[in-house]
Amino acid sequence: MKSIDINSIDKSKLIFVDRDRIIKDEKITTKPIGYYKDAWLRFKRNKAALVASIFIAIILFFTAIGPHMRNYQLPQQDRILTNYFRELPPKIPFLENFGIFDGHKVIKGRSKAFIDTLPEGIVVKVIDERVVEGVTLVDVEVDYYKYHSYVQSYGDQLVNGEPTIQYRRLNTEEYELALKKNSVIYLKEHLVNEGIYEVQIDLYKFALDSDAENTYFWFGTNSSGEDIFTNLWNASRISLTLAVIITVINMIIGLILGSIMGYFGGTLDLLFERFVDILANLPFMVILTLLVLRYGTGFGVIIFAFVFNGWIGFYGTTRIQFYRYKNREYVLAARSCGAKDSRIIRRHIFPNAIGTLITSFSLAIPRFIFTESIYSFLGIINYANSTSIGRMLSEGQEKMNQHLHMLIFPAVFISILMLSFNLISNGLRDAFNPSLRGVE
Amino acid sequence: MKMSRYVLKRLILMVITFSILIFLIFFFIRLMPDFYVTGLNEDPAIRAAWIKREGIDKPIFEQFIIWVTNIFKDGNFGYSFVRKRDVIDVLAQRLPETIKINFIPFLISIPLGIALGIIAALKKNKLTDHIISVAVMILISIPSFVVAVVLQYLFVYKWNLLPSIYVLPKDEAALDPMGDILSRVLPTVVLASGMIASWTRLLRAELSETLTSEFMLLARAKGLTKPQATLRHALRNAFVPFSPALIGGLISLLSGSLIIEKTFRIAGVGGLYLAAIGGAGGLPDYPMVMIISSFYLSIGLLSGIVSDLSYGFIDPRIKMGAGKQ
Repeated sequence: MKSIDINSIDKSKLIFVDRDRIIKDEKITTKPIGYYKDAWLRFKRNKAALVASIFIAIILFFTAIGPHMRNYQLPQQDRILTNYFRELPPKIPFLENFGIFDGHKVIKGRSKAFIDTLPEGIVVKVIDERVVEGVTLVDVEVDYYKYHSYVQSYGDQLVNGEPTIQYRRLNTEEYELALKKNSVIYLKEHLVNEGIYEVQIDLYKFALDSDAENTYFWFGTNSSGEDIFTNLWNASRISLTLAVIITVINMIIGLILGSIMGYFGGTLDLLFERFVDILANLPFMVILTLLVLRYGTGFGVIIFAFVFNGWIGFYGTTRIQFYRYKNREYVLAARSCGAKDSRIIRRHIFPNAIGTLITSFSLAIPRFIFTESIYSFLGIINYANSTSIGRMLSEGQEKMNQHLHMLIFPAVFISILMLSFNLISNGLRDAFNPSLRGVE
Repeated sequence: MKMSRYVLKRLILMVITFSILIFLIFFFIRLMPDFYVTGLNEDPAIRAAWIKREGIDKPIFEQFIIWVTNIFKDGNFGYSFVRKRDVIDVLAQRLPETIKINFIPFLISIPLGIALGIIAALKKNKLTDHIISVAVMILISIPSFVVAVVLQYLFVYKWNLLPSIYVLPKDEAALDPMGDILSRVLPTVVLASGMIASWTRLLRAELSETLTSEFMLLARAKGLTKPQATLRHALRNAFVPFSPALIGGLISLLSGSLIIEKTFRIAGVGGLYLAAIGGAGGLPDYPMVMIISSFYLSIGLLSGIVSDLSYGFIDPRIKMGAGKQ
């Protein structure tokens, strides 16, 4: 075989074949989709979770500004005065025109003679009329705010066919305030020596600066005369704040311990696992009651009780994630490149656990609210100067026969809250769960 | 490791856990500042006898030993000055009531929960499944006391269908058996609906997973009809995680539900616990708190271990306690 000497080939015979053609891959026209983008896309497709998010947004909005929407400051100022406004039915502007939340209430078994003395516009409808032992009794539907205002000034009894006027004893300071607010109807007596004025006053003008017609307790009032609307959002604020604080603390403790134990494993992990096992078996109810019995129900105690073995859930999740990922090839590669343990934990393993952790976080919040409402319903958690959804519900249960509004608002609130949170966490779980990839 | 050895190991671990926790609770309760005030207003002779019997004047660790010895010697868990009786007697008297109110809903919930779970899994992502899932979601999300209170309002006050919002106390119930049964309808419904929801959710999740596994495809390829394949292959596998949950649930029935007992004023263990910590005479009834805490603790541990162990008995493929390979 004759060999060709490459160097002897005439250079002019060699030409470039593809001089002007640039060869490259087809350009990618779609945008790259990362892990979070992917999860978000899936979450967006979940209509229920989206609607639930809107509800949560509304609830958060009201929780932030709700307590300040009513400038109703009575409870702090004057407990006795507040008490006069107890158990008023809900009344909401605009909606009142449709026959709901119009501040009307049925009053049963009053004598017809008394009802007849009421001024025009108070009685809306006579429901029932009957004669008991020679006295005509009526059940009437009244505009309760006007009725209440009238009764507070003129009394709710008839003596010899005349209303018994309600007189209140005010000191000089209060009397001047009453005069300024134009709420004095009649001054009966001025006891100069004691500085006491005995007067008949318009309670609404005196206490709230407005007429009965213009007073709106949107969700009504409770048995001590507090505005349920304000109370509800205050309660919601406490429960949500505590929920976030407690869940964050639990998550931080769980993350740190979980990543250490999961990453290093070995004897330390084995021993710690025993400890966690023992701790996890302590019933939460026992922890809570003992702490409350010993230290009272300050917020600190409640937080401590919930953190005591609440971090174990996050700890378990993180630990398992670390076990799963720590022996992967890319971790080995990182280590070979000289990455320190802390860097491997932070940059290489932890990001894998984030999806699961977000899901556990979103599940932990409603679980806390649920538990807190249960124990405050039972009366074990009992904040000193603030109400809670559970307590509102248990008050509502006692009064539900006569004053349904005291039950219905907190009940609807907690139901919507729990439902929305659970729907969102389900949505997040589905969105972050890689096993659902490619289904649908 | 052999099964029996594993069971033994688990039991020993459980006893250790139990002892440690019981000691901690005991220690904490005896450290309560107002514990030693108990019974000061009582007959000094009775109080002296109490101090002697329970070793109240000794160090706490010795007190614990005495407490445990008393339990094993004559079944004495302590004496309640509030109720003027031994706490174990009070608990024994209240326990049947708790079991009674919880057992019927449990029995009702199993067949219904299983049926609904199967239907939902078979019709996955169809209308039937959506309806069941929404109902389950609602029942699981809304706290049971809200459901209970709303039902009380509707059935008793609004529609006057049932006589009382509370379960009748024992003496009234004896006079009025029909009223007794009617007053138990609501707690039964509330408890049952909650249980049904959780069984349905669990079984639906497990079953829909097994329905899509490869052995189901094989079963269908062999020529089994869908019902046959579902019944013989999918359902059996789905029951592996489901049954332990049922068994665990059966044991937790003993501890009952505080919420339902409070909402319906049932004279059970939960009510006893609430009364004990509320303190009838201002002071919490610590011996009562102690015994009921230990009771709840043991129920929790027991239901955990039984449901864990039942995995191995139900599915022989699961090697209990097999080490990591």
